[in-house]
Amino acid sequence: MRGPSIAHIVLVIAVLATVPLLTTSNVVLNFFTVALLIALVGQGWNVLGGYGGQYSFGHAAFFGTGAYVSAILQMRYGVNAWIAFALGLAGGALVGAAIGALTFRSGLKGSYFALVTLAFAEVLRILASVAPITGAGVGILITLDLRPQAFQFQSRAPFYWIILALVAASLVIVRLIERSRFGAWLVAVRENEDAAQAVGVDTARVKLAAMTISAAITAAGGGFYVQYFLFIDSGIAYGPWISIEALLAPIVGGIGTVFGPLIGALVVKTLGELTKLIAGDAPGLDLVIYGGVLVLIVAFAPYGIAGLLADLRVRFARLRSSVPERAHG
Amino acid sequence: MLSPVILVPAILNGLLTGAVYGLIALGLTLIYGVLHIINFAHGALLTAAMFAAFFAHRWLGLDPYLAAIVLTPLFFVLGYCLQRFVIGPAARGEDRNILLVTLGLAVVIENMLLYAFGADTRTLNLDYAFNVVDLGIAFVLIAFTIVVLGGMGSVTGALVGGLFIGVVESLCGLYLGESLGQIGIFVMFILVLLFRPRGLLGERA
Amino acid sequence: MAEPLLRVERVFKRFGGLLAVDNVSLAVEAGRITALIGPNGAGKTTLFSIISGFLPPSEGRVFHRGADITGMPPHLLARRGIVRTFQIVQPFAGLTVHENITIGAHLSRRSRAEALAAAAEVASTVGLGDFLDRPAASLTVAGRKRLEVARALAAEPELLLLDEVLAGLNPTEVATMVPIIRALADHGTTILMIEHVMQAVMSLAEHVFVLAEGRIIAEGPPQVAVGDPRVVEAYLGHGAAARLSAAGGAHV
Repeated sequence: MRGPSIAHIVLVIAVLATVPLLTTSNVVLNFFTVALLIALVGQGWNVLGGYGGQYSFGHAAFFGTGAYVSAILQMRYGVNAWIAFALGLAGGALVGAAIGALTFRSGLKGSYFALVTLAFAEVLRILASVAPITGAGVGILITLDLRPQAFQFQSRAPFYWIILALVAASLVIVRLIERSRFGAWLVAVRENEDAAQAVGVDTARVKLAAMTISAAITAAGGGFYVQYFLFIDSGIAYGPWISIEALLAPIVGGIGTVFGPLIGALVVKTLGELTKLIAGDAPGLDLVIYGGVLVLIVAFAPYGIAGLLADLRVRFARLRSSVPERAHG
Repeated sequence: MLSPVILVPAILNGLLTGAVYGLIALGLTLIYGVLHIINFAHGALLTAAMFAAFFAHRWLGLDPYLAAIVLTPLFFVLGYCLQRFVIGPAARGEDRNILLVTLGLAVVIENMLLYAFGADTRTLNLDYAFNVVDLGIAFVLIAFTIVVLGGMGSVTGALVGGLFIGVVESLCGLYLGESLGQIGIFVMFILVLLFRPRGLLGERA
Repeated sequence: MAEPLLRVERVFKRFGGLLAVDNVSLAVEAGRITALIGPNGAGKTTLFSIISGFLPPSEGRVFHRGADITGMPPHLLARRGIVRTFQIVQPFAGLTVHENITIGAHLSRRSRAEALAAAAEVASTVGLGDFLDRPAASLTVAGRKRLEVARALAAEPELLLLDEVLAGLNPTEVATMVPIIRALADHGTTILMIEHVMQAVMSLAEHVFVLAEGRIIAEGPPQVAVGDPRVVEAYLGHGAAARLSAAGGAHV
């Protein structure tokens, strides 16, 4: 399949790695850190939605689980922060597998799948808002402990490089999927499930695997969020905001591509910042812009920015070539 | 088991809200029954309508029932315009696109209202007033739960389902505490979709 | 007599009040081209869907090499070597021709490079070698039919179920497809085909089953089955057989 090579990925990561060296502004660094976080969460969504064609509207379920598991293990059970992070990732993956097993077994697709994932996220949100273990309405505060062993740092740069490393890993994972048999099966499921089954694809298993991987990647984002912001509550963990950003980034950047979520996250976050600059900090305005962007992208650029770039490349190639188009048959 | 003194009002309350839910679900099921699309923006439009009725009362002193007479055709036009100029062209007929576009619309409308009017609960001071419930996502899911329960495209199903869900929410609130009232609905939603997507009265999902 | 490759035993299929398949039993011998013909709505595609695991029968069994495969899901049957094409073509529309066929090739190959190579070979066998990088959606009807066959072929089936693979093709296109199908059989693939294009049925099939209103009404070598008065009636209406023989010879 067409797509970037490992070399391309290394190059992009290398360029991004220089950001903390080029600026001392915490504002800029924070912007990029959050953008990379959304890129990670979006890449998770991309595996299931972009490549698998199953649009989840409730990816918050995995983000929040990654965050809460990590926070609870650290604060209530004294588990080391890094181990808690890893277990948070595992917890998110498990939730993904559970939801996937239930929904795909029932053959839910399309709108029904989107609705059910939304419902699961909402159920978790409500539970988290009342359960004592998640701190109920108050949430969980991570105790300040600025040591690397505690997955906290004096300066912002190490956070940035960690999220960059996570994003890099996610890019490599998706690239590997793209070139594997599993990846071929996954897009077959997206394109036509019946036809896929007819040539031996176990569509239920493939979807479940995709869901689990997707959930794991997104949960990693949740775990990172908790370390970076040191606070989590039910609205942040399981709220619609993260479910929407999780799908917006890949759709804007290029659904079903390796770099799509990264491009999309940077664009979406830039738009968010611009909105704040122009119209101030009022709640809800950035989401208005995001919703509008979603509609516009679907209407005018369904393959996102990556799609637009690919279009340009094709048009450019046609201009240069003098061979007329052959008839198909 | 709680005494009838507590139980009966809870059930009646549930039926009352349930009737409202039923009406909401009716709109949704009509859209699905005819167009076979699931309108994610339904809840947002509902919220907008509620605000419209609220401000009609606030600024014009218009009783909500009277306001409904004016608002109904107004929102009919709004719905038509949305379908004709936004949803139709953007989605170009594909299911996945309609999903995303109506989601986008829902987000836009809800957050415009949030930005414009803030997140505080508003109450109407009338003889027969009832509080404005938690807005946004919740309403969409409740409406969908009813529609799925009663069956996509079934009018009777929407109304009966509405009453049922209203009572479920009320009883859940009673036994589990106010904030958990809605969880019963969502759990029901998940269960219905997983095990009987056809609903009790409707066509195949 | 040796166990046939595929055996359908007293299969019924009901949809509510409609009996789509009515007590159908048939056997497909290995290495042969068998055709399933009959007027529209006779239940042929329903039978295919039952054999290939997309629909469970209401009653009856299906055996593959003597093993009961009734109700097994399509992907497991594909791994056993039973692959079907669809009457209304189902390409992976967003992918290229090459990618489409490769998915079939992946059934028995893990490595992407191997699958891609095998797919390219299959593509040239069916004449799509020059169209590998075209989007599947850009092919004509004939091209898509060929793609459908190629994708199924790449899965290296033992039993290939072709559902009206010649429908909608003009005579030239049909003439190009027929030798491809014969070559498959010559290579050892068993073929069960639903077809309406009689010239192809006559020239390809070694054995024919005629299905009408869900029931097998005749079977045998093509000339025999097609000349059977009951078959003529099924296609042309009640009394047609008598009228035709009165007019001198029955041609279908």
